[in-house]
Amino acid sequence: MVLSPDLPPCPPTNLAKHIQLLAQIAFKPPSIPEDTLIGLVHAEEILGEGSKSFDVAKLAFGREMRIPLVAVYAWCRMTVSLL
Amino acid sequence: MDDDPANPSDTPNHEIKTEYLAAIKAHLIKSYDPTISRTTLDAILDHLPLSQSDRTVFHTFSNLVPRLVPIHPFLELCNGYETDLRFTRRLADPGRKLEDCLPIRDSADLLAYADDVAGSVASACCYLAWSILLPSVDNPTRPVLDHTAWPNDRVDKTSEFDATTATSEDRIRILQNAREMGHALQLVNIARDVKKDALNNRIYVPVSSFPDTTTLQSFLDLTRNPILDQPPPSPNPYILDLVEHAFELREKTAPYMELLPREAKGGLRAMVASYFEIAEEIMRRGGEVELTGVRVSRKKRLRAAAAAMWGFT
Repeated sequence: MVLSPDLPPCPPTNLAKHIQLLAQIAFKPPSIPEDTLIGLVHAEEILGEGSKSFDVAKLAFGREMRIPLVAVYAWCRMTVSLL
Repeated sequence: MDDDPANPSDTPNHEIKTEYLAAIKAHLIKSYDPTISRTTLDAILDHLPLSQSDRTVFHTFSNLVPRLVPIHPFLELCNGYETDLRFTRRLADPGRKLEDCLPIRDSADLLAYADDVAGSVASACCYLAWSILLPSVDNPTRPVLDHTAWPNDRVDKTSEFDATTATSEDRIRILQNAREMGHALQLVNIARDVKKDALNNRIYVPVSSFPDTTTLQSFLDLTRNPILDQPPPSPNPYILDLVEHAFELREKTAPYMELLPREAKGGLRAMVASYFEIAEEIMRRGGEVELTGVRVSRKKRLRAAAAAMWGFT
């Protein structure tokens, strides 16, 4: 859900709202920008080359945390390389 | 191309990098504007030497991060980049004092720099954990709006912090300690790369650490010409000082990681433990680092990360 800007990154704790959200996703799958997915693949490559520590530690995060962490890391790495 | 001796930092390379930094900041700021179009963002990226695949990194950042993390940690990171650009290449200019070419003059400068480049990222990790792992009641699809009340999460012992304006006093303490953990990691980074950085005319060890200019110059000479008639003082004591301070900061701030959401704690502990294997290796070598840094095997990092993740360290 973190990939779709129209969905909450964390589902609500209220059970009814949670089920409502699941139904929404099931009947109308959210659109995810294609360039986000392409960017994440490239970000993983950058991470693999750039930081052994983080490349190891990312395995300890769940997917929801790992995705934006990798995106942030790749942005930092890219901006440093430009300067 | 001739440099202007009156302003040696205005070399073409420096000028170009300053323009790149301006473009990076402009793209960052516009990314946080929900009304901005993709076309406008792409036009800014045209000012940077990026391949098509490199551009996707900026696209992904723009698409994912602004709704999760406030902008200020990334602006602080850009401040750190500005400091990096201030290291002039004209260290050998006889008309320019060596100390004047180095922006990290004392411990306060080092702390400010570490806060900009690493404390900021640590702070961003905290915001990510809260945005992703704790549901927002008021702003479910843009949880970043829950966090905009806390612009004062920087470590600033002199400022009065008004806890009544924060949603949670605990979160401010967590952010401040996360930043200090970031400082610790940056000190390890600096210690590891001391020789490599000096080769690129960057010294992050504060100028005030050196007893005199001669010792400071010798520190630089060591990286350029390790074979000298009279070997200069070893940089190892400075390196060990940095690493020891890093260990102190880690010990002080580690308990606050336990106050983060459960699903983030293990990963963050693993990240810190994996990185501190570098610090352990530097200590084992008595502060000796290579031009390429310090190698720690993947196996060792995995072991440290696994033990930390499960709370065995």
